[in-house]
Amino acid sequence: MSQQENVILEMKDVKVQFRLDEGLLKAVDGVDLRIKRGKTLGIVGESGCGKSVTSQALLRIVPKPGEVQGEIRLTRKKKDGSLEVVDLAKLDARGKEIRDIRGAEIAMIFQEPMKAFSPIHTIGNQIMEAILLHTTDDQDEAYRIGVEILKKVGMSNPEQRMSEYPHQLSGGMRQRAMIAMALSCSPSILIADEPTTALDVTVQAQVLQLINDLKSSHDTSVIFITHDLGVIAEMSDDVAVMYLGKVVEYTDVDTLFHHPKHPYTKALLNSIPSVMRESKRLESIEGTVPFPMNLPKGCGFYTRCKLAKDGVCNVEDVPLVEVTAGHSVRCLLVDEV
Amino acid sequence: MLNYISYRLLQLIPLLVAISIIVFVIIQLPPGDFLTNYIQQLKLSGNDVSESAILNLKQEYGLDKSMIVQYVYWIKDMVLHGNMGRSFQFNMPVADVIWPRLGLTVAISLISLVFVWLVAIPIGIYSATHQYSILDYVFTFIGFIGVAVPGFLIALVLVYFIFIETGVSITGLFSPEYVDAPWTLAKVLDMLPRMILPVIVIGMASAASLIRITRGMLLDELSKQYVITARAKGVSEGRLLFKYPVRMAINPLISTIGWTLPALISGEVIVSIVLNLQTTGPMLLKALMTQDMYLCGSFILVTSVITVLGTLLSDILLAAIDPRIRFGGVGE
Amino acid sequence: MSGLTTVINQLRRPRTRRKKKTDQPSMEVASQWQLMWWKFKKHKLAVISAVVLILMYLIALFSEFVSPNLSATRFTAYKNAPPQKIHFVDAESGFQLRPFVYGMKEKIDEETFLRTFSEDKTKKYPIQFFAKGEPYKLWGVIPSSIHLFGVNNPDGALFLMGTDQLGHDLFSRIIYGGRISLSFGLVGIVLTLFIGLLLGGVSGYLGGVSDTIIQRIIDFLICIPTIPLWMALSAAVPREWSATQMYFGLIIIFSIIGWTGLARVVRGKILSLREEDFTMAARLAGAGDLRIIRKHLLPSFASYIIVNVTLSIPATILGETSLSFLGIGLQAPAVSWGVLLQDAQNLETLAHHPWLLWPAAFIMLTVLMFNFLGDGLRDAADPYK
Repeated sequence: MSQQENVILEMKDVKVQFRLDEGLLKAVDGVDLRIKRGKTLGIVGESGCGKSVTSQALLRIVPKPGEVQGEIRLTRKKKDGSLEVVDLAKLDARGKEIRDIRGAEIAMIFQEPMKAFSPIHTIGNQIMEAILLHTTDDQDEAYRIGVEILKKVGMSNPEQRMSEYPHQLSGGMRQRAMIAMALSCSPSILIADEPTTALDVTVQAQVLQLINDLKSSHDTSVIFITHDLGVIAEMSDDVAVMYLGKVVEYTDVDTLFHHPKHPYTKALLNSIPSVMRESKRLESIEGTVPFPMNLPKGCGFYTRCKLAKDGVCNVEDVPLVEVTAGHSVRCLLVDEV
Repeated sequence: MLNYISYRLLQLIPLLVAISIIVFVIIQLPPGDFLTNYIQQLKLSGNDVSESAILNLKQEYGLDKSMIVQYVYWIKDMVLHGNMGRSFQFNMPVADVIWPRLGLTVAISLISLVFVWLVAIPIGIYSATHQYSILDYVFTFIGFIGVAVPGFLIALVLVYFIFIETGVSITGLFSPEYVDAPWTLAKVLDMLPRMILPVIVIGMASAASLIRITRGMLLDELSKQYVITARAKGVSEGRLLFKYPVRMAINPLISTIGWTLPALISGEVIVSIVLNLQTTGPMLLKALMTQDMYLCGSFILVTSVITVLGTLLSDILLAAIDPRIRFGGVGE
Repeated sequence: MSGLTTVINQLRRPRTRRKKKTDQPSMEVASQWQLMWWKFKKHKLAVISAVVLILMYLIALFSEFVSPNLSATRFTAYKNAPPQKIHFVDAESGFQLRPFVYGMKEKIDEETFLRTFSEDKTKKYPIQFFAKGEPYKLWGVIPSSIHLFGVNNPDGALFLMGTDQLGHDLFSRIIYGGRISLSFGLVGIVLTLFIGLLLGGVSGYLGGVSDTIIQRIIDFLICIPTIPLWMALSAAVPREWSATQMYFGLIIIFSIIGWTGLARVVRGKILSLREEDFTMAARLAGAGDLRIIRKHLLPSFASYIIVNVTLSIPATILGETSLSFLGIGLQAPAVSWGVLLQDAQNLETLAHHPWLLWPAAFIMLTVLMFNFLGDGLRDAADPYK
């Protein structure tokens, strides 16, 4: 039971669908995930696999006309210290309850810090906005907390930074400010949506280090979304591999890298260069991700899978099966490979 | 900020010189110069004009000199003495003809500008936040008509229908008893209701295009990342809308004043002719009919200068509210 | 943002719907113009507008034939006559498919001296196709006396939209006026297009001093209120000029003021295209300036120019109309929609003869149609979006 208590966010059969004139677009199609306290869950997949939409579903900030279905159960501490469970999927996306959770319980770091900050408001203004909403009504105190958090993420001259505009900062500094903004209200879950993709490699390492440090010092859970398996290896405790809106493999990071089961995961791993595998050609996955609309029945990876068997893989939708404890795979041929 | 303003002011000088040259050319365009017209007029009214008087006049206006010298005379006279030449149609200095009416033209144009903003911005915001709703389509359609159909046609049709329905002729800015009366509170009160129709008609086209621009720009901004960031912070939708996208969209909208203002003044001129308002429009038309070029030229000069100043003000306003322009660094 | 969100945002725009697989088998290999055409076809309003405009231009082209009367003919017995009603039902013979009009009786009110017309039910004139009427020369060359429709009877007359104070048939005059007003938009845009392309191209491609100068000129032209400037320039045109001279004089006036918008589009496009990889690739492959402009740049922004031109034509038409309406553009006896509207300037006459507003309806229709068409073209201009 102790493990159960440590799960602070649980997603059950979460679906995000966009009702368009052309039909129903299933961006996220039945995702089950658990986020444990103080741990990092990595979500990896190609662009368009629904990993970003999954994170948006948590905050209920899915763009129109998306609809979130299923259960998203967040365990949060009430003011008196007792625990309560809220189903985020049932809340009104524009309502007060979800707004109290956004930024305070669950905060988010975005991919491109330049675009994620409003160019016409100062950094201070934008950091203090969240603090004023969730922590205090006092301007001076909010300012003090803002400076404090900027210092914590390693910004020089935090007071000066508070009155600067985003375009006056460098890319790495901006991402630090972004992280500061997300952490300003001490959230219990931090969602990092490709936080390093837009940064230089050297800065990337610093930012990743920063997120890891803050995670351990604040006991924050992190959902780390990326297409970069290298980053996943460095950051995550658990990993979910997503393909076409579904989780195809879900396990801890060691198992994933050493004993991958799903053909897609294997293909992904084979497509990254490694110093260990000498003189081996890199493999690419043939074809492209199908458009997630009006898909045929069967395994989503069928069209690109080398092992796919006609009459087996393309008949019924494939369930996610736990093959060993803590290792789930969505593949019918899992025993054969 | 001061640097920016002085830089912009310096930029104005060549622009103003260019405008004045064009106006001077326009004045000189029609065959026969101003003096021949003037002398002809004097003769017609029975005055005897001697050769020496003609010579005197020629010297006074520098007509015996080259074009460039004439231009310098004209500019010097205007800048130093406020003398814009003589309207032979009204037989008065141009300045005396223009200024009283120009005030009304500027007033109506500015009120129209305010009207345009008050109407277009809220509608634009509504249309953007309720994209593809019924009202959005309605506004889009009205916008189309506003953009497509010129003010003078709308004025013509409106005047006709109001006359048919109510028997009231809504032309003119004042009731007959106030037309030549000095300015009093009663005159202003008499004028205000009569201003409503011209302001709507003049502002319609600009309002329509401003609605389109506001809507388009807001739709762009609404899907931007920083809006999602703010939403992810827990900011409520209403607050978020006004703090970020609207605030962002306002900047380019302010810069539209640069072309809205000349469009409004243009519209005012032609609509005032149809509605027979006591502004510069009908006067300009009369002046043009008789090729009273000093009057026309001065009118174009003054309205252009007003537009230029309006644009300058909007630029300064823009710099005041947009840090990227103020600090010279322009982001993405 | 993930790629998916972008796709969703694109899908949400109704006008940029992805086509179903069935009716575009060659989406990948279709040329830019084919894609534009596919996309344009789906913009129903724009297609309808295009059809209406083509019809209007055809009518203008054959105006002598289409109009039941000649524009210059004065029916002195019918001054200020209201539009005739078209009837299908007769008291004697009942319903008939062929429409007809009654003759008109003039009555003068003895107190007010106002002239009114009423139907003379004793005289019935059926409207016929290819009726024989007044002789004319099509385009001044081909003689004929057959009109598309008319009453085929020298005693009767057909005034679908009434007559003016001189007894001209307004409907015929509107059709003749369309020839001048509609052609003015097309002819006017040619010179504008030339200046705009040239200066915008020079400004964008050469850059440097020429760019600065041209940009300053544009800034300068934009801040002068257009209508007063048009008015002043057209007033400066010599009075003795003939209608044809005035027509081209006005076109020159509009062009030297109106090229700025187009030049801006061209310059902006060239500036951004100059930086594109394919331009660089062509340059590296050894293509010369002219070849790059012709083969790579022009096709890339031709669609934008077409859109811009489509939206400039109505503006030019309106310019002519405004000036003629004010009495400082084209002058009678030339017939344009603006000239015709001059009669409607006075509220007094308008109240008694409201049919004089008919030319306004044609102006509005034309301008709206061009705007809808331009809107459709604008959406189609970027087929890859």
